[in-house]
Amino acid sequence: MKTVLQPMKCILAVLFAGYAALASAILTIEITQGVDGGLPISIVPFGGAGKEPPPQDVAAVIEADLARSGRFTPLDKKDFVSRPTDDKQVVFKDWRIVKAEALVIGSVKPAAGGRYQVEFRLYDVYKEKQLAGYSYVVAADRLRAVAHQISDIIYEKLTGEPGVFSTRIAYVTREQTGKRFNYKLQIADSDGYQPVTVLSSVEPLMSPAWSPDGTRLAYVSFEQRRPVLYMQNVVTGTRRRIAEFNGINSAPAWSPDGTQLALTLSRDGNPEIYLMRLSDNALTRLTSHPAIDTEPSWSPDGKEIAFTSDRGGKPQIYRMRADGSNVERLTFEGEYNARASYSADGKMLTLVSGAQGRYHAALLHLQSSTLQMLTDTPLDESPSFAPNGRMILYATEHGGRGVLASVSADGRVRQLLKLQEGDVREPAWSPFNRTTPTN
Amino acid sequence: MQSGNLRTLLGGRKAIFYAVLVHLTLVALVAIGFRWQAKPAVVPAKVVQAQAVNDAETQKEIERRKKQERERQAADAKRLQEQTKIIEQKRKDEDKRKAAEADKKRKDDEARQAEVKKKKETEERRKSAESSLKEQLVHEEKERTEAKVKAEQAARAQSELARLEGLIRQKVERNWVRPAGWTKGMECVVRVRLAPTGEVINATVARSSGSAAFDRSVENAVYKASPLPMSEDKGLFEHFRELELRFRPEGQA
Amino acid sequence: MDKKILFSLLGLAALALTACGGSEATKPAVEDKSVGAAGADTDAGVSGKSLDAKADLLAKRRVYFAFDSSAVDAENRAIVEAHAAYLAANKNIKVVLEGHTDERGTREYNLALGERRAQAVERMVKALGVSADRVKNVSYGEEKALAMDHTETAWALNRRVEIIY
Repeated sequence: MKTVLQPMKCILAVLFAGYAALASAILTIEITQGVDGGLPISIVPFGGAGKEPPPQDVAAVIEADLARSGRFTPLDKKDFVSRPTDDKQVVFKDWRIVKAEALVIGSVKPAAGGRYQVEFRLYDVYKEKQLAGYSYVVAADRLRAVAHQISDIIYEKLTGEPGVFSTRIAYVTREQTGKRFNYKLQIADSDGYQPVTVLSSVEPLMSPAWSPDGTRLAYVSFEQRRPVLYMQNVVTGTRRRIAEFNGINSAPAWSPDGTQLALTLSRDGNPEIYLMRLSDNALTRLTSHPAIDTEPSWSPDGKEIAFTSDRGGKPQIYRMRADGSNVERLTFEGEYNARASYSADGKMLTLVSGAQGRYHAALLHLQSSTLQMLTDTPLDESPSFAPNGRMILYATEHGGRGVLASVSADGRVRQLLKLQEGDVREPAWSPFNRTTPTN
Repeated sequence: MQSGNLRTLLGGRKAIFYAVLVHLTLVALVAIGFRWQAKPAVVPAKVVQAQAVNDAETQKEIERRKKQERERQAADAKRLQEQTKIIEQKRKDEDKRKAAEADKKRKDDEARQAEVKKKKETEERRKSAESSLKEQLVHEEKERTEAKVKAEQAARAQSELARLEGLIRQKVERNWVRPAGWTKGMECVVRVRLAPTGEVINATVARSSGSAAFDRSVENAVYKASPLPMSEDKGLFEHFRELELRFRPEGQA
Repeated sequence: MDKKILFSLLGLAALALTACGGSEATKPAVEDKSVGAAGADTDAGVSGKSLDAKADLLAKRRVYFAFDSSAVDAENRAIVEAHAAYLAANKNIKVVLEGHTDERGTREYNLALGERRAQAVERMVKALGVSADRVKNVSYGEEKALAMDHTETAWALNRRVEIIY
């Protein structure tokens, strides 16, 4: 038969040429599966160190940011064939070998006056094209801030969405000395670093809520031995009491236009949701039901308010119009659903969902009414959306104490934030920065 | 043909024989005076009487008798002639008949021969047809075998094609990092040009998904999968030289 | 779940009752007439048991609750009634009822639940003749836990109303 091979090939060639000519359509292959993971990215340690390394490892901050977001998978440095710190040193073939889709290189060089010059470049490896490149001159204490800015630029270039790495988080810590406790309201970077205390108290603090312009925090303080609502300017430190009626004053929620606060007051005998106009403190009652109604959250368009109510027996999530009308129940799964808050696009609520004594951070997709668990740890609380809706910050237990963690909105990537002193709880993610940080 | 001649000859001799016989018979008859007519013979008057009688009558009688005789003879002769004629006629008829018979026979023979010939020809044709049919069958058989071989080759090539398709798909899928937030219904089509080694020469987005990040992930998948699995067979490669990959994510978002 | 609570409460009740007075499981409030400062009559001796029981009850400054509930069960009701009686007899004394919860669930909802518990005790006290101006309630939700463990025992101890004079 071997002698037939040659003619066979000819026949085949003819056949296929004929077929191809006949078909005149290009072969189409359908691709439906892939790997659901972060975009593979190589972040090369920044170069340019002088005599001493700079006080912050900018590349490491960037790498941690991108990994935490769940959208990127930084590749292992051990596999790097080369370590360029300069545009001229980049050999794209080296990065195709490790199958990186993007490459980040940079340098941090000492500059005049104790400052640093930070440069970075972002490349598309397979297109062999630079996507971004910037240069900054900053003081040493701004190195982390610059790193977060670079993370934002990389994130936005490659995902098309805004990054949240330059945003901040607020939270409460509790430390114990002997029999006394000390509570602090703190603000830190989105990764938990560089905390700043805005309030310190020997009585509990609860429910910090950012104003839409990111300048103020409303919160509950027990400094008067009962729950009272305060508002504080985080830049100037000035604060005032907002509500100190009989009973409970709590659960502050800013309207998207910043002119009103929804809050929980039990002045009329049982906890109900009210609106307070900040200009004149005028109060409007929204709910009137003997059950507990609390934990209001505004929809991004300001038209609706989600809240927790146990009018059905156990705490569940309800929604009403901003004037209190048209109350409808949203959650029907699980035994306990509470503390809902809207995503920036208004399509999801993050909440605490509990069953059989286990409480998880969860997502409720409003269109499909599907409830998705984000965590499997049993004592999770206070989930708070990042302003781009892609990550959720929440409080959990770890190593015997309260810590903060973030989870990507698809539930894939979970990361503990930098541990603070004491017991950490009540995280609140700030909105996008309205003001650009100055050098 | 020869036998026919022979018959004619024989017939001729027969005729002479018969003629002779007849004449002899006639002569005998004449000699004997055989009366073959049923007419009551005129009893000749006793000559005795006759003699004395009238010579004129007798002469008349004799004349009459002579005339009769002459008539009789003439009649006989005529008869003889007629008979000869008849016989000749018969002979002729016989000849004719025989000739006709011979002719017929000849014709029959000819016909038969023709028929035989025809049969033979038919037979030969049949035989040749049969043999050509056989030939044809053999030929067809050969063609069928060839076609079968071709079909098998085509099927093998087809399965090879499908196998390559599958390998390409798998490799691209292994290398496709789907960006978070993809939804069912998104679609990006990439047109790819390959070198015979399977190496991706060029990949361009023919139809965008609407998301730059999604499109980029798709292009990167193609580049990372390069070189795509490819056959050394040039014919097979032709099929893949220009390729379209349609990315339509499925599975859990 | 309800049965479990019932049994554990019955168990607690049984324990409490045995602690109270051994074989004579009596309701101190009904029997005893002398109401005074806790411990004032203990030296009298004769009907020491019931007096001790009363004092014991008054000494109890915490009323406990079942999970996610603000209902005051029988055993805890006794405690409340003791204090109500005490207050009714001492009209110059004011009391603050502090509501608490265990750590499970959300803080704001627990703040409301703590208040509900405190209000339940407050209603009971008022119903027993104490005027509203002398009773206050406040809630700390889960913010002031007594026991820090993440166990059922710790949680049970934290679900309480504190009676504070």
